[in-house]
Amino acid sequence: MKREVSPIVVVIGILGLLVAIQVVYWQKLGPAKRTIIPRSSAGGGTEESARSRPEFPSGDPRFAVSTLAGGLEPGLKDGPATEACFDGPAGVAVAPSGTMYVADSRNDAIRSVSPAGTVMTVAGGPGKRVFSAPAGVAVLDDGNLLVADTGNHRICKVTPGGVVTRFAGTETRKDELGRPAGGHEDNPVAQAQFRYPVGLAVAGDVVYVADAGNHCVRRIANGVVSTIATADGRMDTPTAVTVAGGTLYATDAATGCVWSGPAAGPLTRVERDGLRKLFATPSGVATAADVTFVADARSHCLYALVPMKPFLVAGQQGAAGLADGGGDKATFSQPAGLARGPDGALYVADFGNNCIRKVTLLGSSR
Amino acid sequence: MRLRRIPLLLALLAIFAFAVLASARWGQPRVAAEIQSELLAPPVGEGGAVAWLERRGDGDFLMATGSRRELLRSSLLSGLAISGRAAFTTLVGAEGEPPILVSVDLRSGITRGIKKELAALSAPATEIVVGDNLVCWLSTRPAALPAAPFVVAGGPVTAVWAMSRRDNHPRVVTELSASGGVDLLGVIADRLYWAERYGQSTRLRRQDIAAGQPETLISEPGDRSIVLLDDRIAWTAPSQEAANPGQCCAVKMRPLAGGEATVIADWLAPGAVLLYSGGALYAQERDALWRLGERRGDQRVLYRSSFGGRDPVAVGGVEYLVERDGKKTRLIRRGLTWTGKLRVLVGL
Repeated sequence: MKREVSPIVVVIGILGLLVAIQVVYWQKLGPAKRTIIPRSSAGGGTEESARSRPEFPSGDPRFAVSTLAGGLEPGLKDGPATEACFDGPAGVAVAPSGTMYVADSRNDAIRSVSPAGTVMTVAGGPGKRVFSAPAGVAVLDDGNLLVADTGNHRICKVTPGGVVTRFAGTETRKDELGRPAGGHEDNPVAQAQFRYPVGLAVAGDVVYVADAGNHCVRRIANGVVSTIATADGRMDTPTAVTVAGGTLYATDAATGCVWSGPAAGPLTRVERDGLRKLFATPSGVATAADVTFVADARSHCLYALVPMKPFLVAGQQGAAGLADGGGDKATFSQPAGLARGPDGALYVADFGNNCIRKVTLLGSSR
Repeated sequence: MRLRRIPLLLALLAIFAFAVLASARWGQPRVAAEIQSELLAPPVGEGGAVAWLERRGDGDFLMATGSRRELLRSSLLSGLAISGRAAFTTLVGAEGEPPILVSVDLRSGITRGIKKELAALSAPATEIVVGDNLVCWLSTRPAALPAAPFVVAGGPVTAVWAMSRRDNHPRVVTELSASGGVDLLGVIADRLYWAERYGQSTRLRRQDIAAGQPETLISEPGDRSIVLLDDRIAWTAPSQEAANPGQCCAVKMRPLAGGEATVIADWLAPGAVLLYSGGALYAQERDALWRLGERRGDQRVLYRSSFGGRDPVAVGGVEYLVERDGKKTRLIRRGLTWTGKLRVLVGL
């Protein structure tokens, strides 16, 4: 009495088994839902349990950081400071009148911010071929500007009305892409050569240039360019200079050192607590109230150089962002140029955030 | 009568065995190729073909899935794209000779590819994209001031080149100074799309090759993934919902022609990479692969695994990843769709 099984039943059975296997498979590896739990702190929103918030060393709440002009969105737009756009502001300088000048590097332009908060383009602009990615700006005593025309390896003089003339540096050989390659010649300004000049400082009739591509600081006095000597080794990538009380400070982005010495040289590395590498990528330097401040592009912070070790003024180490507030809450993104204003405040060219920031000490008019 | 049922039973048994085997391996990643030495460029693909460049002791090689031998060999290969059934790359022959842009016919299958020289270049291409009428590529001069990324003039200079496929006459379209590099995304209607990366931001830009200046379509903080869909763009952006926007990322989408961006996903890992294949958008995290929908909340996970695949590329419903395990480098693939899983399973 053998009972015959229909092939259809067998096929249906096998298909059922396949479906069962697939169900098990999908339960193990199939779509998963993420656990979202409400945030316990105020402010609403949700927070995924799996991701924890990292902690970053942060600045001092006694300092206040605000956004003066520009915003995250890159562009070239003049007008009220809050609506204006910059693109990679790298250098900043403030005239005694309170007018601020910005080396707006990706816009190939020099911009100004009036004390009333109006942004204007002083000279240059995309496609105008006046400047090539200028990275530094300084104000002369006569009210004219000096611009580090970095991509053209020269220093230009610019009137507040926007007339541009060559101040120092001559034509150099071309590289493989047909661009100026720069050079190193200590000569009268008309024959001198620079290679990627970045930072500028003016002290009376003397101009100091952080000549990054030539690994040195240059000095322009009485129409002659010379190279400032160093006492212990060679600089690598000097990017900013400032002079205060006859002392010259220069930052070296590659080695993390700050160099200082008499304005005529020679310069030596600043040591703190036995350390020479004080910063990650120092990008700007300024002095205010006898304190030297340094912007660090890689750690996204602003420091003060105090006797023992760098003091974190504002920003969160290693965390880029665009947040205003106390020094402990504020964030920067690759702060570059740094300048002190006549009001005693520090102004920061916040390169990565495409804006200008203002840093003040709370409870002080300065 | 009973003997006549034996073939049917054997067939059913074979189906059963295959089904059990298939169920065990269904959706599992499989090795597509073992890389002999150093992988020069992440794999690229189109249609059903995936190709890559690898460097061995005796030169550089162009390889493709399905090929048992190298398709092209040179002392230096650089840049790679696939269009139709042809691979485009640059090769440097003898020392002192200029790099040459060539196309290689991938249909030559298991034998050496058929090479066609397109143009002599001034510098090797680092990236190539191919459109219906155009071949575009990048050549890059390294940064003069690598320690100072905030000095735009001292950063790397990337020249964007374009050449009509009809006259094979290369010309520079524009020069870029993106410190974090440039990625070519594609050519649509004779407009070139690329991503520029700076220290802390990513921009999607495009330029009409015939005439015009580069225009910025998108700018987002951080290192972002951007993908061109047929008539839309999708990109990763800071999370809209996380307490710290840098901890997670959202995915936004908008029409290529312009318009409002909509958030279609959130809470993805900050380094998520977007992939587009067969009309579907995917997000590859380090330990998960998500399929994203048109609307917020439509996302679902396809895989959860942590075998460490990098440089993902989606081709024809199959995802390819590079897996480095010590000295070994392997190209892994896994199905994204039902047909893709079947292709991986049967080795097509």
